[in-house]
Amino acid sequence: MWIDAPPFLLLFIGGLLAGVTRGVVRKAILLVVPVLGGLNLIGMQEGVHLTWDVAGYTLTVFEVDRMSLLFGYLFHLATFIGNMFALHLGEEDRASMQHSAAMLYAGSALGAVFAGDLIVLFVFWEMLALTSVFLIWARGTERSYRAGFRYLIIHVLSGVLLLSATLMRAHETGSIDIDQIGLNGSFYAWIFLLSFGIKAAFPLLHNWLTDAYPEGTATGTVFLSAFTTKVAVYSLARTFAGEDLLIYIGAAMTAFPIFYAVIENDLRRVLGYSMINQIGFMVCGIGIGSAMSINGAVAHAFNDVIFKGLLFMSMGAVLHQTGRINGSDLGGLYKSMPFTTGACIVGASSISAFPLFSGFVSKSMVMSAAIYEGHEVVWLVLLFAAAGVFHHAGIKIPFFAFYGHDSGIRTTEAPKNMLIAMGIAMVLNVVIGTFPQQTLYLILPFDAPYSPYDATHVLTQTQLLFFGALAFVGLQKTGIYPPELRSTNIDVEWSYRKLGPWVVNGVGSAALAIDGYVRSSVMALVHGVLAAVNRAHGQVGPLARSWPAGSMVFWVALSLAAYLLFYLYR
Amino acid sequence: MSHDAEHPPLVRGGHPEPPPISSRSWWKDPDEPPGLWDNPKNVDRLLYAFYAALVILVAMDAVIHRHIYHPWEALFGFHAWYGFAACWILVVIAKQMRNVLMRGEDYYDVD
Repeated sequence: MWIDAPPFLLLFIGGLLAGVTRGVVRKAILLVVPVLGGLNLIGMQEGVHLTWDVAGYTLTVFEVDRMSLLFGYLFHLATFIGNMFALHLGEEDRASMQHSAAMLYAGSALGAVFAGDLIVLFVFWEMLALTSVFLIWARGTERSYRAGFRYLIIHVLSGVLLLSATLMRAHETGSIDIDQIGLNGSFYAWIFLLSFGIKAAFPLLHNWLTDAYPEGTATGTVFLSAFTTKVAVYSLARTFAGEDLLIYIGAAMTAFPIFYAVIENDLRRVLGYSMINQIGFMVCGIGIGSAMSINGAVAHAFNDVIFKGLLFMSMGAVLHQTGRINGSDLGGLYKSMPFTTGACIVGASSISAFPLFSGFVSKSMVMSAAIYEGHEVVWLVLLFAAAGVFHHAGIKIPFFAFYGHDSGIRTTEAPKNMLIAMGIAMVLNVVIGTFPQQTLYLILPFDAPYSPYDATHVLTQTQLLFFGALAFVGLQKTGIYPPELRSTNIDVEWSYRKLGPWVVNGVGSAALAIDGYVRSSVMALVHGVLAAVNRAHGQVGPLARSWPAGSMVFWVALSLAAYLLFYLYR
Repeated sequence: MSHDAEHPPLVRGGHPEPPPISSRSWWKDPDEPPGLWDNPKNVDRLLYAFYAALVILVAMDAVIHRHIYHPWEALFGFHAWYGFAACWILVVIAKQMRNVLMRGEDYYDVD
């Protein structure tokens, strides 16, 4: 409140400074700027804070309400934790690029949630893609380079769709406000949904996430997991709340990725699939559309940033220390990295929604809302997914990285800054999970009192999870559990990484063949005509017996004669 | 575990060797004392405690009067068997999916 600056501005300045400073100064900037930004939000009045007149239009650059404020606090928190986690980066890690990109990316996310109209949202929407891709490219491998490009193309496309839909809506209704759109029968509404759906990783549009996030740097993926999809969730909550279709899309999102997560070997890709599962709960909550379910959706977004960040941090620490991230190549790290093991288990307990951990107090809101509003089948799907998430994220990640078969790799704990960052996230998960009424529930957008801690909720959730764990024990003991294998599983990306190129190459060679045939046919025809002309007009041809001028006079005379005949006998 | 963890089956196109470990890690000393969970007795103790917790959790179904929101919840221990069945079915189906979906890890790197 004391500066009243637009939140993105502070982080943009911080991001630019982080790119040109070094050493202690840069470290100070990385830690102080998100704190200043967060303090700036405290006590911020609701309403429009900044407009910009450009070419006769008034753009609302900075507008505040309870929902944007919640995401504002969250993004500052995520930036602080992420910067702390990345504080050790040296120039060999492309530190300037990573720090700068991370802060500009966070700033873009803040710009998007405080945007007062769709044009401003579009600008920050595209900036999210342009800044975050450097956190993938900074890995410096051929795979990350290619994955980054695919990521960038898909996200720029999402932005172009957003702009198109905005212009169509402005043309039809004259409004560029960010308010309820819904599927109102108009074409532009579907384009909005497609644009948001790409960024929220809707089924069939999801593959950019599991493609790109595992290729990011050990520290960069922590930022990636925090911002992009949460901006999409925020946008959906603003524009498509209560849209029935989202209930079913969300339920599908919770269920299908967990099958992939069970057989995936790259543990950060497992987390990518589990992220889609968690976003599914949020999308479902938005679709249900009651005050409680939307509170649940945004509360779950808040918690997901912290517990998924913690899980990505623990895997980032493993990758940083050992250079490996595949389940098949790890195991037994609890001996070398006990603190990281503990951090991973707290993250796993939170995402699995154990009572006293953060996931419990938000996921249960969405699930309760589903059953209160009469979506019984959806509720059963969500319950299935809630058990499944414990299975792949709650057990598989810690088990194959830190326990399981001992890989024989020994190392030390990650650098102190990484441990501190994980420690902060651990404390937040437990505090929010244990005291939701005193923390997270205070900043929820709608007034819909909810109490997660009654005997029914606690007992049923604990039964669900413990017996899910029993299934894991049984599957391991009977040998049915599939071993971790160095492999790739075909997903939607196959269509644009294999089928697309095949089709393009196929069409290309077919076009070449057709082109060759047409060219040779035309050439034969031309040669034939030339030969015929040569026969008539050539040195010995009957029409070449006079000089060309004479020939012309002959033809002119002939056409005049024809004209005369037409004139006489018309 | 019935599969041989030392030599997991190799997927066609998979790299026989995992990537080298980083300079911040090393291979274990053969004389290293066994860790806490290398002792099967400790694993068994943990599992016994876990099984005891399962029994208590189901027994509490008889003690605590649960709110019933969905008709299936009226079944005794509904959440327990649903959680167990969900995870078992999840893994069995996912394992079958490998027959169709799994390729070597260099699948997208080669034309």
